[in-house]
Amino acid sequence: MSSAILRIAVPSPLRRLFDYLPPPQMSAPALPGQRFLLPFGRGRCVGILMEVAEHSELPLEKLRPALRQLDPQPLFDEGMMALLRWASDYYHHPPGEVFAAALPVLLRQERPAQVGGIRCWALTETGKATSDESFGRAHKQRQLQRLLLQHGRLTAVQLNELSEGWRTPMKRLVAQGLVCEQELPCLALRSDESDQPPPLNPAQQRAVDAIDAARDGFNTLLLEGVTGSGKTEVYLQAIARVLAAGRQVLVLVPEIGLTPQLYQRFTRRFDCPIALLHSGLNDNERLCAWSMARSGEARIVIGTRSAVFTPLPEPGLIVVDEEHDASLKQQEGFRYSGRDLAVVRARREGIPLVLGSATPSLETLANTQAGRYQLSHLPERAGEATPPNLRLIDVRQQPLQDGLSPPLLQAMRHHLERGGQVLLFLNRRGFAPTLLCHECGWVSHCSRCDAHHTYYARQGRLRCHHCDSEQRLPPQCPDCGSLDLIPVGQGTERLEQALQEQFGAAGVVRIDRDSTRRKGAMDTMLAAIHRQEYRVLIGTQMLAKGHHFPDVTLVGIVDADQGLFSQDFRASERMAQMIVQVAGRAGRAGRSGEVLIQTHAPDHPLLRRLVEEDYRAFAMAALDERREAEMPPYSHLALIRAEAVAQAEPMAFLSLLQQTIRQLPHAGVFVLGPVPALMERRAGRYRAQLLLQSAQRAPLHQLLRALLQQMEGMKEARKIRWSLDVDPLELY
Amino acid sequence: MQDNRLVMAGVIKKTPQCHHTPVGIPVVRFTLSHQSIQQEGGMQRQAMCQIGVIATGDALYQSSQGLNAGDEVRVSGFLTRANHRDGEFRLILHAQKIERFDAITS
Repeated sequence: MSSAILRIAVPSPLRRLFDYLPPPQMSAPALPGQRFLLPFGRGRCVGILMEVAEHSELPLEKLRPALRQLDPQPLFDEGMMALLRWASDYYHHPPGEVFAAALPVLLRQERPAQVGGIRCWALTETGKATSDESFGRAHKQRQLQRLLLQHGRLTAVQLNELSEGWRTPMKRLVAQGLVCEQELPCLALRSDESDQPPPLNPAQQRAVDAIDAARDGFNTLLLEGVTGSGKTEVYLQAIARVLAAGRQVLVLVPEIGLTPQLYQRFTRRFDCPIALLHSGLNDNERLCAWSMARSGEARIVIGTRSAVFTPLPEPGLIVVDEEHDASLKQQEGFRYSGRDLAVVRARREGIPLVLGSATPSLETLANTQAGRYQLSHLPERAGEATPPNLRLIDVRQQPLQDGLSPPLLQAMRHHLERGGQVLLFLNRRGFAPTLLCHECGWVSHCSRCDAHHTYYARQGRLRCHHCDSEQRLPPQCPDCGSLDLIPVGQGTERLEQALQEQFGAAGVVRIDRDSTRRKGAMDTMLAAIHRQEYRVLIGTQMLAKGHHFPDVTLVGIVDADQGLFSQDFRASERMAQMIVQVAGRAGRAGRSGEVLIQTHAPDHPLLRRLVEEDYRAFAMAALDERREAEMPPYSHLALIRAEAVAQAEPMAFLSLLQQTIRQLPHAGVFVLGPVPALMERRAGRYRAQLLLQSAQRAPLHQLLRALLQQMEGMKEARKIRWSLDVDPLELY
Repeated sequence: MQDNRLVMAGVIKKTPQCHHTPVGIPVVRFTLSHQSIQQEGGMQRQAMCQIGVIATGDALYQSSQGLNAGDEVRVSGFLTRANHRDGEFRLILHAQKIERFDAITS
């Protein structure tokens, strides 16, 4: 054994494994999937053992021994190891970084892979027996004792909600031996409430049966259900059957914003431990959830894209909700698609995968058409809800009042009078997207980006949405000295202010990234909306996804023109999805819903198809266009991005890459560019890109492999920040 | 080259409009209509013109409070072009002082 070589994936930008000698002492045999603490360069790091080899290409005396074996057992089983190796290969990303991305942060450090536990407090026997009077004037302590009597044990998070300034009195209680600190065994907290599965409509029943029928092997099902058709109920009932068969379920959702609602529905339905994994957790909580999934204790794992890497000993089903959503794709570092990796994982594990959406991505629809995915369709809304009625409002030459046309204002009044709620969608934060000098035409620009500043009226500040830089409002025009600066264009803050004047009595609330910055703010607002305290809702895309507002009867899309004239070939797809998703918030309960779409382009084919037909009709037309233009899903893309402080460098570097590519075998691969990014400068750096396009995957990947090998030796590549994005969603 | 001063008396056309700049400075706008008899080449003649007036800041906001269409005022200030569009040289009077005639004569 002494001559065995440990081949280890080390988190570094180098696209290879590193050979080490075993550490001086090992408590368990070396197995792939274990972590080792390693000397690396002048520091140390944690790497994952990929294989135990007999020989190294390097002479033995050049190898350094690992410092310590961190895990007695592998953290990943063979299946997960293979999936991660595949991902490293497919996305051409350094294996060490791929494996690191798959681990909870604490395990990227030296921490043992143990369930950390969440601190909580409970009464001791003495504490339980202590009478009210004996606390005397220590009211706070008495209150805590009562709370603990009532709830059994409480975590810090729960205590924060129930009691202010509890820490000092709690310390006293512990010191007196009335309360003891415990570590909660990391179990997901369960809901006190529970619900019973409602009856399914025939389409839902067919979908559940189809998922059930696929249980014993790999199969990808597209669950295409119109908004409000009860997709979640289909997941729940299909999941119930998988759980009953003794298997675990992984559910991927696009955003944390959606997880609390979904999580609640899950905890109410299932009396089993559920692990929740998303970026809103702290490192300890993440490790907890991850460990519970890995040990098999958690039967359901709900998480955002990185949850696709959660080890599961008994996987039975993977569900990807809102599979079209761009946030399932990681946009920096290891740029992977959570959805695509879920497909690969399901195939490797031999289990079914459900992709759910009201507006499936064109990639998924193409796969369905090609017969690779099986389609389950939910054409009708669940219960008594009827599909909303969509109508375009031609705002050309209409007198707009703060961006709202008379027909929309009239419809708002009408719906509010009848007791409904109104949702206005405007995907633009701030008061106004531009601040302009009325006299000389000066526009406030970000000094670090090719972008205008957004004007925030309430704070009196200018903010750049691309680099987050901020400045105070200038009192006068920096160019001509005029004081007459005017905000131009509509943002959510301006809309809120205008509606407050007209509809203040109905309660106006704005939900966007700015108004929900504070932790818990979103939940508070959502609850107030459900209590009908607010009846005019203004929101960006945050409000558009997944929420269920039963009393919303009117949805107004304030500006549908934003996505119609973009240069990104996916812009129209995203726009259509957005419109359908927002429209889907209307009329979800018994009342019928109306959707008004304001546009300057009422004859635009995209809008016409959506309004007169449906998303499917739009998608089919869009697929035809993509086929003719040989764009994805009918071709495969890889995008190389480069950025630098000096303007010429990214273009020069990418030109060099382009020349390198010419000398490599590149049959079947088109090289497009290099071109400057649509927004060339961002946060002080100039950006450019080189697009590679191929009808087949194989030649593209062969070329990438050869190119990356060449780049290892290229000194220019070390001087510039560059990245490779396989299957990019954004062309910047 | 610092000389730029105009004093003009006239009648306010339409009620002055006020708005606030983003930092909260009040800006009042109105149009001043002037009509008088002036001396030229030793003879009398009629002088008629209209000019936009812009009054910025709290002090001028105070002195323009309560002004209405038809009120007679004397405005002193300086001239600048109304906007920076090429080839367009409409002038606008930036007030530094606004006096009401009823206050002056009584």
